Amino acid sequence: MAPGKNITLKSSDGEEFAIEETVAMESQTIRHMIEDDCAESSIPVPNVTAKILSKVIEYCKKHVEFAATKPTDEELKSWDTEFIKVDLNTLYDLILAANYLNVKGLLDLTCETVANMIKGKNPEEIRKRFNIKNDFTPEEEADIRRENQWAFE
Amino acid sequence: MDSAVRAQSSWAGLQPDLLASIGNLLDAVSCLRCSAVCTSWAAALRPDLPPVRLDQPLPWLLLSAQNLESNPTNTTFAFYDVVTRKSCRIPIRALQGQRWLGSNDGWLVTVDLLCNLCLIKPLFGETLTLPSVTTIPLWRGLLPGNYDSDGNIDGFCGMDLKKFSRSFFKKVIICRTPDSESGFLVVGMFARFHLAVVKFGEKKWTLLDDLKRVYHDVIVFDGKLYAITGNSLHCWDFEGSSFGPRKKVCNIDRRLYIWSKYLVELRGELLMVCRNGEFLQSTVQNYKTVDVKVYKFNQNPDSAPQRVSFTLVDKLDDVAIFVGTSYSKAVPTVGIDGIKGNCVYFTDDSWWSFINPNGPNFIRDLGVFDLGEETYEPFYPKESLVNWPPPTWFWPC
Repeated sequence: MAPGKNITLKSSDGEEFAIEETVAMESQTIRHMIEDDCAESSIPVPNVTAKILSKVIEYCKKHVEFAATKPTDEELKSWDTEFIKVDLNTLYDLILAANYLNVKGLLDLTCETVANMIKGKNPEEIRKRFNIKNDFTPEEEADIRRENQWAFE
Repeated sequence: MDSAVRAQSSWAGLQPDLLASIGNLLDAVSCLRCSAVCTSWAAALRPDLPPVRLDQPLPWLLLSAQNLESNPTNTTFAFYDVVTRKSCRIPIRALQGQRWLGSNDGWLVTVDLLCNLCLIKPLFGETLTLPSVTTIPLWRGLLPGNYDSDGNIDGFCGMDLKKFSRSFFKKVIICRTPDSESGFLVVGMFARFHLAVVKFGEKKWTLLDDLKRVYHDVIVFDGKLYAITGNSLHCWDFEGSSFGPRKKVCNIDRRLYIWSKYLVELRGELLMVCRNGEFLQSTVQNYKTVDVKVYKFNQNPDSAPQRVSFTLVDKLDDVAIFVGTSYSKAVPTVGIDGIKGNCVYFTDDSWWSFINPNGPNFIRDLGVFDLGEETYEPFYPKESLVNWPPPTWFWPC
């Protein structure tokens, strides 16, 4: 790998990002493309907007850095925690992007963040938090509550 | 597209596999609540659990998907329902690295690989650490532990932690869970002779008896703590913060001194369940239960301790008793198809199997004994789930 070799990623809205190959390889999807020699001058990332792609790149850059500087668990966690303080829409987009680009660390971080937002809430609170519409019929909902009474206290 | 509207549709429409990844990080109750959020979440997140029958709470058999010692990071477990005879696999992160000892009312008492005791509510993900066993005054050849540089127990009288952990925690019973008004109360039968108790708010264990008796089981009955040995029954008053002195209730006929005894409450009466077994000439099963008998205490308050008598109970009408390493209980079976009354369901709690857990093919002594027919039928989920930690009864609520 030539030192400082760059890969260009192109977001769905046409913006281009030049990043080091090592950073790009944090995405298993891109890694496979590079290794299979399918990567051309510019790799399109059709499902991810520039706003989100730049966030993903920020994560990948930092974690490549961490691999070299070897921070403490605390430092790592602290950076991740600050990084993921984003609005709900961005969080959603990040999950999809991390999944599509197969960036394991970012996917784990986003899923864990969502799980922490769910814990301790009842169904109505969860719906409110995530702006989800209740599409159960009243009968269906009554059935669920009755079967699992012990969990809905 | 308006972002608020988009947000409303997007989380409900999150891909099932991504929802499942999130579900694996949640406790079962949170997953259940998620499955009541909307229909798409219900399809992806509904946890696989046996039914919880609030008015006739039958226990589930708790099993591990992987051997704890060879796979300490395992977080997949299974609940086996005795009625439907089906196993449900479920992720429980709270149980990672923990060996369960017994359960009561939704809680498990566990010990980890460093011999720390914990109370865990697996379906809710709650955990609570108990004071270390090093706070128990230890005599009779058991020396206080050695400590490593982090202050963790590093070994006990020459035994490595693994061996110590297997033989020291004979039986630990949750008499009251952290959900009760007065907080938790846990009684441990440690090594051979140590009967010790710890309550909510206490920082150490207290011995309830001097080290002369080997106890088999404990129960809270009629506001007192009762404990049974091979040949006697004892009780302690406890009101508020302290335990009264040990009172011997009665002797037990030596002829009834068999392998293990359990105390169970049924309809306001105290029962004693006696379980006998025999050793087998087999490499895959060392012993099996061959006989179970149930006795009722007839307490005449005016009798001297030697005069308390026991009557054999020949029929438990529509009741099944569950014994093993968890809190022993009797459950009415009326109206539940698939479970027999007049039966004793038991798990393997024999000391020999703990000090020497055998290989993956080792067959545990689990089964149901029909008191009427005097026959015993082993039961075990058909899927091969491992036998360490040994399966135990889990009382879901």
